This record gives sequence, C-alpha cells and structure tokens, in this order.
Amino acid sequence: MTNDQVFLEAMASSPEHHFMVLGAGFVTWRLWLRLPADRLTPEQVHAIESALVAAEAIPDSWQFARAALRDALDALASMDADAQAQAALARYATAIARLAPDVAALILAHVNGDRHDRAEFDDEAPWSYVIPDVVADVFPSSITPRIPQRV
Amino acid sequence: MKVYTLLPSDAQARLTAALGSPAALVRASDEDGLVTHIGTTTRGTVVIDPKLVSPTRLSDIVERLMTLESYVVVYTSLTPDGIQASLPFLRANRADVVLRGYDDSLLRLQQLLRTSERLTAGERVIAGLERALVQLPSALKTAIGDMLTNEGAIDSTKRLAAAAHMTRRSLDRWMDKVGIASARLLVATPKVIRAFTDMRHSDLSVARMATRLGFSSSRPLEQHCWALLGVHANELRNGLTTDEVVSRVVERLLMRASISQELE
Repeated sequence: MTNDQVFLEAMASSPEHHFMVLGAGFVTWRLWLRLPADRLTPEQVHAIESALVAAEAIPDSWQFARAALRDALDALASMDADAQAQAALARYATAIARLAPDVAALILAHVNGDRHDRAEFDDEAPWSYVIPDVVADVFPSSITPRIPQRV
Repeated sequence: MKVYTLLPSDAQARLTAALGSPAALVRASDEDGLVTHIGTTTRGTVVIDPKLVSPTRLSDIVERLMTLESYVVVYTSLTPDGIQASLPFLRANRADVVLRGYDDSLLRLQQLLRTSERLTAGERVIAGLERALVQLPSALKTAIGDMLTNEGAIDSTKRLAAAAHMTRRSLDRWMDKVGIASARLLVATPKVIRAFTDMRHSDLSVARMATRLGFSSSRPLEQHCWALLGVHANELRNGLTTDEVVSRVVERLLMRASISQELE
C-alpha cells in the first residue's frame, strides 16, 4: 500500500462528517512534507481553512483533531515555523489515532523521522522511518495500525 | 513528451501553465476519446480526473492504462466521490494523486511532469537498446527494463545481477556478448536521466543532485555524466534536450556493438 493510498482509503471509508478533517489533514501533511521547496500559498491556506469550516458539524471526538490541524496550518502559513507545524501534526495524529489508525501511524512515522529528507518525498519510502516506540506510545493496545511495506 | 488528459477546463488550464508547452498536451473530451488517443501500444503519461469516467467504465480504463504501463496522475477534487473514484488507480499501484485547489501548486505539477519525462526517457532508452536487449535472457531483459523505468529499484550492478538471477560475472559476459558497453554504465543511466530531468531549467546544484542520488560526493555523478553524455554535470541545466540525452546515452551504451560491426 502506498502512502497516498493509506490516507485515501481511510477517507473513502470514513463517514461524510469525518471526511474533510481527514482530507484537510492529508493536504496539510503533504504540504509540510514538501517544505521548504514548496511554500504554502495564501490560496492553499484559504482552501484548507474553508475545508475545515465545511467540517463544522463534526462530533466532539474530532474537535481536538481539527484544532490541532488549525495550529499546523497556522504554523505552515508563517515562515520558519517548521517545528511548530511538526508538533501540531503530531497532536493531530494522536487525536485521530483511534479513529483512523493507519493514517495516524503514517503521520507519526514522518513527524518523528529525523532522518527523512522531505524534499525527496516523491522518490522515497518514508515507511522506512517508522519509529515503533512512538507508535506504541500513541496507540491503544487494542489497535494495531497496518504498517505498509516499502513502496 | 506527450501528456494525455481527461480533465475539466480549469484543471487543464493549470496543467498547461505548469507544462509551459500546450502542444505537448493531448486533451480528450471523454473516456472514449482518451482510449482512442492513447491507442493500444504507446506508453505515455495520462492525467485524469476519474470523476469524468462513468463508474461502469472505470475498471476498464484503469486496466487499460496499467496494461499500457502508463504513468498516471489522478487530478481530482477533495470530495468523497473524487476520492472514491481515485482509489482504483491507487490500488493498481501506478498513480500519483493531486487535489484540485489544495495540492496543485505549479511546482508540484512540474515535479510530477518531470517524473513522467524521466519515465518516458527511460522507455526511449530501452527502445534504442532493443537490438541488444532482444538477445538477452528474459530475466535480465526484464530487470534492465525495470531499472530504466522504475528508478531506485535497482541501483547497482550487484542488484541488477541478482534481479536477473545470475552472477556478476555472468552479467558482464552478457553485456560483452550483446555489445553493451558495460553493466556499470547501464546502471548509471537512470541516475543520469534523473539528474538531467531534475536539474534542467533549475538552480539545483550538482552537489545537491549527487546527494539526492545517494552519492557521497559529486564525483561519481560527474564521471557518469561525462561517460554517458560527454558533458559536465553542471551543463545538464541548459545544455541538452531530452532527445539529445536519449540518443547520446543509447549511442554510448552501444558503442561496443558499433565497433564490432565495423570490424566485421
């Protein structure tokens, strides 16, 4: 399973009121991966913010995820805020760990992988940077995210 | 490089802006038009919004594109139906996804088109080497094809030999026999093609490119560029066209065969 497929499979199988939180997470995560080569534009910020507004009717269990995503977006929109965005994405992943475990594991694999060169994202397999201890800390023992093979 | 598209007008316009050369885009008005354009034998790049394909034809279109080994970019909207329609392409394992309005910066689109150009250049090198490759055992021919079109999978002569189920010595003997200059140069080919497509029209330094390719210094990249193209690595930025790169690589790799033929 590819990294994109992990996210899109989760989005396709999620209830409609969860969809945009995952969708906005997907876009935000990818933009973070492509920094600093591909700086977030005002149009992209507006588009993602609109997506989050459209997801107003989400249940309480997703509110923390949305708030973390907003933080990540704010950080991405400002210059030199890489570390804040990274931390916010980690909070987002933790918030959705129970609801979309594969996606959460994918994000954690990136935000905790200090060797990963994000400029190479399109060419490399970030799954080689999965940190089992971090995943074990975040996920309840009843949930085991699928860790895709190197693609 | 031809890029076949089945896209709404706004997405088509954005892709045109990224490509900078409208003539390279072949736009289909519907799914049948796309099938007609890509034909039955041409490998190519296809940029498609799967929402424009009727659900009953989706699996057929996916299968056709995968059979043709097309490089597919799914360019769709961030909506449940857009994502749902995209999944068959992702599950078939040869598609990148771009979300309209969110993820389609010109830089992102240009990166994807460069990937496509790289694959196309690799395929053209394979076609140019055909008279030599046809004499090889099928496992070796397949491994070389994979290496030239699937960057990163095989990045050393040792791995090439392993993928072909033979020893390194046997690999060298086969190269000798069919007139390919050397396994080492053959393995360097996808790296040089990637350096060309990444560095062309960019300010990427040779040192940075060498790091991307996994080299510990610029020296191996310089050597490969000189051996395969007869240019210094920093000349990849503006000095050559894709046609020139492909023809020089093929000519260099088959130099031994040409000399043998002259001697005969």
